[in-house]
Amino acid sequence: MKKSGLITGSISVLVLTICFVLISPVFTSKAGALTAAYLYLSRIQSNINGSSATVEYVLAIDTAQTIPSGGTVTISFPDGDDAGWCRTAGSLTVAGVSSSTADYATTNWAIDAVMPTSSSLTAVCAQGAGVSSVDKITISNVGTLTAGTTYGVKITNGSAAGVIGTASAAGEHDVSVEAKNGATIDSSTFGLYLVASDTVVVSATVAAVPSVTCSISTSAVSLGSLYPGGSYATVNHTISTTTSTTTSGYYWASYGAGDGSTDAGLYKSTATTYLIASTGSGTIGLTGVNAEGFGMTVSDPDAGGAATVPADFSDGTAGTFGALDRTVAGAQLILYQNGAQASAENATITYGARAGTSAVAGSYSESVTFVCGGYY
Amino acid sequence: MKNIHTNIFKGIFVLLLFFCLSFVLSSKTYAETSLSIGTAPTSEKLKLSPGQKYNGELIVWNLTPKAITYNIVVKGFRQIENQPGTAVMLTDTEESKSLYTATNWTKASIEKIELIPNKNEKIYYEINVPKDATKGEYTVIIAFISESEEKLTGSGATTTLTLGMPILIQIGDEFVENAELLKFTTDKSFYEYPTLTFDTRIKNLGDTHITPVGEIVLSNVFKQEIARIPFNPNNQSILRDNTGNYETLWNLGTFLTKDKAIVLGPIKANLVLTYRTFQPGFAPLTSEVTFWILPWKIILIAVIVIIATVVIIKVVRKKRRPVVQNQYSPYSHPLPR
Repeated sequence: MKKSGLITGSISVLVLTICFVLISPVFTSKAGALTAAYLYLSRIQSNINGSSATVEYVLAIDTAQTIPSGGTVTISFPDGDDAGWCRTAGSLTVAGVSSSTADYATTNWAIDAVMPTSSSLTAVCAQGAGVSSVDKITISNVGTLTAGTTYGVKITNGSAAGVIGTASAAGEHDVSVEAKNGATIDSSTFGLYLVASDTVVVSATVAAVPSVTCSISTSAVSLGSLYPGGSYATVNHTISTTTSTTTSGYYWASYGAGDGSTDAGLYKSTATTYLIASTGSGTIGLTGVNAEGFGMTVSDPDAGGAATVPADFSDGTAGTFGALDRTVAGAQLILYQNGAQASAENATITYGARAGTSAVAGSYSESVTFVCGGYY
Repeated sequence: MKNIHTNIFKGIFVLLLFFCLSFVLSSKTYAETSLSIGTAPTSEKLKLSPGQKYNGELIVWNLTPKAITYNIVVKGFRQIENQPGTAVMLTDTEESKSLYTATNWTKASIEKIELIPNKNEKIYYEINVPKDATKGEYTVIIAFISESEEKLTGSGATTTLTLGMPILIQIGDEFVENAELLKFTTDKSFYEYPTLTFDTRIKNLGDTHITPVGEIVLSNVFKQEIARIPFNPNNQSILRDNTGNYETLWNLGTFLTKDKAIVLGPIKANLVLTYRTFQPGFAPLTSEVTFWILPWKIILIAVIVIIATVVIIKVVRKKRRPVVQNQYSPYSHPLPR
């Protein structure tokens, strides 16, 4: 009896061994690691509760092997974070995405295509409870995931129950992502770092003090050639002013240097010296017979608005220019405005000069100083 | 063969000539630099005591794309003639004669600054009021004067930009605030439309700056108020021993106010302004001016239209009369039955 039992047992073991050898290849698990995966969180702050503050997940995965259609993709969070990532269990909103902010172009960490679906993607969030039970998000009805293609999917709060958030503790949290269809499984685990606060508050105070900005379009202008007894020449540039709304207004004044003693005007400082003078006040007409002189006009920047150009510098007669005086003592107001000027306002300064028949050949220059300021 | 060589040499010569000329012409051009400077605040009004130290700051910036160097100058300042609220630096001669400049008390942290484009720069200054400083209002300006880099090769003008922050410093407590109204007029006494400018000139007779404010009240021939115009709404000040011209623009744009008061005929303008900081109502400056508003062109056209209408009506009536008489004419055809 004992011998027959031993034989029966041996035969049974042999049969089972043969069966195992024959059948076992059918149950071989094709498990591997994901080629690339990332989980992008729209907020990296810990303890996002999903209601007063919300978070979106974008998952990008590239499998090492093709996962057949109809499988699932599961995101598993650490065991100690129960109900942190899945704030309220239930259906989530899920949609394939073709790109994300975290894409690293030309690498596997850039989404190539939206996550395919065998019918319609669904996602469910389940809460862990206690040891060996973790928060999980499972995406179902996933289409064929081809190896070498990075697929993207975005998960947000569901329209009803499902609410996602972040773990309550700042620091690193290991997250596992698994793409699976039957025994074909690719998975990876990576760390995700949460910070206590992901928002930087930038504060500034706009001072209520008055301000003024004054600009001149060029620091030098050329009148070209003047011909003794010829006509007058002109050249222009612009001046521009902006003020804060608290400024009472602005003003521009100007004066020349001339020959350093008698008058402002274009001066030839080398021998034989000569001054094409500006007469210090009033206007200078350069159209008369053998007229000679130097002056300037200022255009009204807002034609009838608040800005005003004094009469001497706004004479509209062709060939008539306002006369400049010499040195700071002779500074004359050329443009002013009572009231603020919020946007830059330009006025054109036109210089006019004419050389009389007695003018000496050579280079002439004048240094015009513009004084700008805000009213006090 | 010789001709071919000659032509080649001629060609090379012409090319070289053009090459050299291009250098001659280009030497007359020069790079133009724009200038810009902004400052905040635009002025300071301080009240200090003898022996007091005051530390202040101002911010400057340059909005051009190129760095510009500015010299920082501390000097006394004066008002541009008759222009309240303006400031130009004193000349050295004026400075030496002026009794009320705070130039020697004031020191800027630097004397020169290169303003990098689009960057705020903070300039510090310190005012040390001497212990023996006498009562009065002292002035000083911290001015920024652009350094000119341009060298003209032909005839023309170079420009310098100056911007400053004037500081008015009152030493002591009791100041004499006194002013005289020299002028309150309109440039004409007759206007077609209610658009005009009031010219006011005030002389500061006190020992501190004044900031006159008030109203110009306009009323029509029926003594109805038609407008109330603020005077000096921007608070421009007149320095001591100076006069200030103020222009007040009135542009109603209609001959009827919102209260249905008519803006035609003789209009009376009453100026009432105050300038004292303590009990301002005890020393108002008042004046009155009358001017006419009459849109004579419109009235003339209306009269012509009325006359023309009357004439046309009369002519038409006159022409109709014979027609009426013709009804009884023996040549008229009887109406068909």
